[in-house]
Amino acid sequence: MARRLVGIVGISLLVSAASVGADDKLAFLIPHLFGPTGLVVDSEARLPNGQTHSAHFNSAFQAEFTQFNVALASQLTGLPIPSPASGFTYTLDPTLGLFNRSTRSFGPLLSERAETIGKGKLSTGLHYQRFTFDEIEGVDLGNVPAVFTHDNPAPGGRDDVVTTTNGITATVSQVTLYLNYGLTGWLDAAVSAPLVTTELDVHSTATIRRIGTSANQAIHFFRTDTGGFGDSRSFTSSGKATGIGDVVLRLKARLTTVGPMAVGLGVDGRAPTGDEMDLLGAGAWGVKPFVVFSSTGRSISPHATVGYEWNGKSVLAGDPVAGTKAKLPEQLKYSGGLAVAVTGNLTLALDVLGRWVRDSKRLVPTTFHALDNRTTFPDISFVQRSENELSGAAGFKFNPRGRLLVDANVLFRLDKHGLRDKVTPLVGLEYGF
Amino acid sequence: MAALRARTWKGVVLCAAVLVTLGSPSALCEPVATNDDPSPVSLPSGQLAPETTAIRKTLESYVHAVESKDVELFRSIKPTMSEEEERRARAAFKSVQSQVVRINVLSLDVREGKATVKVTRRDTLNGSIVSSFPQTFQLVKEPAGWMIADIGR
Repeated sequence: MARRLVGIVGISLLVSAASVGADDKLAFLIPHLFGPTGLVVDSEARLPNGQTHSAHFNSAFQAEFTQFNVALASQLTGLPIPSPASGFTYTLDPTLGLFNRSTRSFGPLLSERAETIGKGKLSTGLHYQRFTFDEIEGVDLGNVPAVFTHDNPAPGGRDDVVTTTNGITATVSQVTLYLNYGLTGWLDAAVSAPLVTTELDVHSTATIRRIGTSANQAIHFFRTDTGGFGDSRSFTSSGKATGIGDVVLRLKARLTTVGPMAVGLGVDGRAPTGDEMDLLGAGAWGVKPFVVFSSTGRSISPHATVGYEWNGKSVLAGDPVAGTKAKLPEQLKYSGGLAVAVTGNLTLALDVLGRWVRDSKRLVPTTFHALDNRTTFPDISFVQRSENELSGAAGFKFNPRGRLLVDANVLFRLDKHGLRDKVTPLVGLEYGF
Repeated sequence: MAALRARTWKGVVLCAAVLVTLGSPSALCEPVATNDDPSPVSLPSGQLAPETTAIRKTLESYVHAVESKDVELFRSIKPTMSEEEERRARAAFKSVQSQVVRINVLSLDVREGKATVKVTRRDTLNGSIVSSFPQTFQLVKEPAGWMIADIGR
């Protein structure tokens, strides 16, 4: 059996071996949206010394929107390894020779519990999760405003700006295979290997706002198809990549049990096996120790988890174009919820999942004020700060027969911080040997 | 690129197919007990007490009661069952989808209307969970036949 399961992991790794070409890497999509040298508008005007005018415009959107890459990558690392279903554990009633299920609950879906699977026991599963991101910091991803200002802005010709309306369609599909094995009665080892498909489509409509050059269109313009002076131009870029994501290894120990209460301690180690330049992984090692509290009731089983994640340096947090790395933000991750055994075959799982992301670059909607002190445009800027992101999850585990479980879950946002999907569905299968 | 996509999806489908196969109870988890002897209770070889057949019949009824989740049948062969034990039996039957029991009698000691039967037992729960353990049945002879007085380890 173990050989067959190793085969599955091998197949996943082989499938992920291929990738898109280096020039098409998804991490370059936004920085290269307006071309390799950024947003340059046409100009036929000459400077007083006779030189041609280089009309180069800059914006935080192009320079600092790497926050999007970081936020996307951190979503990929956020999927927890499902807890094995100890609801399949039976205890013998020795005076009758009959077996009784020790708990009716199949446990949480996107959270943890302290119980371990048992010595020599193996649990495996396959989960599919699809994110279609809608907002970043409450800003609609279909309509991200950004104002580009002229190099060395100054009253006059350099007062002109280019406003852009940017739309980003980002979807991430993740098929995660996981194995959980009971090394001893109190210690589990687990591995999760995701196969990730990331699709990114970016489009932008740029419009020249002639604040200082309204009398002379030749100074800043977009060349039209007929060779004339145009005010706007559209830019698009899209890409898709599939491959192995970041593999997570876990050790979890059940420290102590007092009555129905149990306390567990674990550590997750994340390997940067996903290609971060294709937004398939975080591009950095990560380690997350965590503590779990759970109680096993006949029908209702509460649980809570707190963990702290340290991350290494990744090019996604730095500059993908220059290839410089920076530290991915640290995160305090916490969750709590209930697993409710509705019937012997059906458990509902309700969870609140949160993470406090420390000192990360955050998008902030702002208003741009032009140098004429009259004109304003909606804009974005970036600040470095810590932020809390809260999500809810509701789902069920259904046992059709034997030790097979069918899982379904929806993850939904409870606030507007970070890169968010309104509703993220998850479906999967679990099997305990 | 198209070839990569095709290969990727083939991989995903293959992974899912293998996992579903692994997860299929019919592929892995059918009850292991297949016995040419139709009785779920096997006896040791050698000379056995004259009451052996009747005792075996009681144990067969016990197995049938467990497998068919029949509390009344259970009570009929274990009349000393308390209300609390009956409640536990009903709860146990409710928590198990299916249970297949095979009993292998190791020794049988019959004296003055009482019998001590030591067995090993192999239970298959829900088609996949297999548990083997020793058990000792204490039986007493009643006018209606041999009845289970006590079950212990």
